[in-house]
Amino acid sequence: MILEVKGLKKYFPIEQGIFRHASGFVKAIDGISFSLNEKETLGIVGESGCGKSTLAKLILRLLNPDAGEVVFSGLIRELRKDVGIVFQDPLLSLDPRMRLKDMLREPFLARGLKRKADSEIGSLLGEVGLGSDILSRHPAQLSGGQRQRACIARALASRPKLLVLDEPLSSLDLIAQKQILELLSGLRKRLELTYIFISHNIAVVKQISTRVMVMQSGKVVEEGMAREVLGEPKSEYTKKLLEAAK
Amino acid sequence: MNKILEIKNLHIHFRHHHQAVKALEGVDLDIYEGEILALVGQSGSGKTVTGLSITRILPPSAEIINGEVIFGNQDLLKAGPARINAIRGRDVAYIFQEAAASLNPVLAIGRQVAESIMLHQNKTRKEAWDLALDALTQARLSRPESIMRSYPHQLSGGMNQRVMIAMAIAAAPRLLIADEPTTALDVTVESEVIGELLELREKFNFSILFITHNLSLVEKFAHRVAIMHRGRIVEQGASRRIFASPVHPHTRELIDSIIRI
Ligand SMILES: Nc1ncnc2c1ncn2[C@@H]1O[C@H](COP(=O)(O)OP(=O)(O)OP(=O)(O)O)[C@@H](O)[C@H]1O
Ligand SMILES: Nc1ncnc2c1ncn2[C@@H]1O[C@H](COP(=O)(O)OP(=O)(O)OP(=O)(O)O)[C@@H](O)[C@H]1O
Ligand SMILES: [Mg+2]
Ligand SMILES: [Mg+2]
Repeated sequence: MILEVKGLKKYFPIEQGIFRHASGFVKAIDGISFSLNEKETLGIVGESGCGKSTLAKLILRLLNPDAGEVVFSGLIRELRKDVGIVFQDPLLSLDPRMRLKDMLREPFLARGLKRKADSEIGSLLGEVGLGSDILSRHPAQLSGGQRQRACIARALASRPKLLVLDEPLSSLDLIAQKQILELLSGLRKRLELTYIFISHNIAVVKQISTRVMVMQSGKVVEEGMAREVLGEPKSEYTKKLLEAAK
Repeated sequence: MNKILEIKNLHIHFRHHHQAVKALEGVDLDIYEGEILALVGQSGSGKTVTGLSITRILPPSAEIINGEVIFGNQDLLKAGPARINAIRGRDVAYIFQEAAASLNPVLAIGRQVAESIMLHQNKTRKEAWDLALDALTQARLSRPESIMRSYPHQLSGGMNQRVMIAMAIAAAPRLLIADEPTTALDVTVESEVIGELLELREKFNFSILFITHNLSLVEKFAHRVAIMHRGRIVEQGASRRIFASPVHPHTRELIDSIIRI
């Protein structure tokens, strides 16, 4: 096992009126438990606003839960080094003042690979479909899809054991999507990576996931082997979701 | 049908360390009144720059080397700042590609949407607030009242995207440039929001430049499709024709790449 999530809850207060008193809560995560084994890919699907990104941030400890806990084990010794994330919004997650070159070099320096950094960066860029001409640019000087691939490259550069990807293909054309999916599956086998893959694209989730979790309003509706959940869904909600995606 | 916009031989380069990044290398594109024109092409091919160039929302490093953008008998590339400001957001509205990053992080959603309405339409604060609330509801945001008081970082990716869509709905422009407007939405909400946009288009007869990687949406909703490749439009035509018999090899490659379940 690499990760265990137990009874996780995160409620955000809703403020109302001129005095901004809390008049209720958004139950973004409302009692979620699951565990994840090494080399698995857990696909997470569910409608917009159901709590997927909040769950990702709780796992990375970027948010504190109101209840429950996130426990790492096995390969994961240090959260900061061993768990990576590709955020949903590339532009917000990149430092606007940093050139791509410096941004991508950082993880290699942290791993003590100063001399190999430049050649590693070059091959990593090729693998995500970017040319090295973008290295001297700042994040705002890229196209949306180029920025998204830069985020993926940066996350991979730190060689995480567990990588959380939040809608990582949303700005990519189908050719680039395919390339990234193949890269991720290749790395999973070669480097024994474990992924949590958040997406509303059912076709993509089906392709990459070994297990699938369906969320609705902060709760898990259904969870199991990808083939079963997407092939013979038990809950009405999952059936509706799959039907809509046809 | 009348042309609402004509882009002619548009060349745009970005100056970068004494070199030029040639983003657009001769774009020719017409948009007709009331049509939905899809602009598709690989990542980095120049779709966003094309959309932004229409009202010159470009960084200082951008150089317009050549070309014209004719809108209402005027070349917008030569129009003065006052004229461009009057058109931007009113006649030509945008749903930007990265919604969360294009909203103001320190202003509550209600104020942002209401102020954009007041800027372009002759409304009182109270009227604008009510219109904003309606627009959020039309964009399929549940609990719109509490969203009016929220800040962008308190909303999910798809909720911010719907806020941008609401701003475009409230503007009721003549041309809507929708750059990957529904990438963070699940299919159900996506088709509801697009349905709402189409209804408005029927009512006000505006045109939509629909920039997207989602070819099944293109197949469903676009009247015409233009394919972009390395800063040029390599093929354009009726949507049905493009999908049934693509001519340019790059168009074929794009269509062949559709991942099916
Ligand atoms: N910092 C915050 N403060 C208040 N509410 C928040 C905050 N972060 C998230 N929320 C709320 O929690 C709910 C879940 O948001 P989350 O971003 O996790 O959704 P999501 O499943 O990722 O949606 P999407 O698919 O649209 O990205 C939403 O109602 C959102 O408004
Ligand atoms: N400010 C800038 N400086 C230098 N190059 C830029 C700048 N902005 C964009 N570019 C380059 O111009 C080209 C076109 O970018 P554009 O954003 O229009 O692509 P796009 O077709 O919208 O791609 P995507 O589908 O990834 O969003 C890209 O190669 C990009 O790297
Ligand atoms: Mg999200
Ligand atoms: Mg773009």
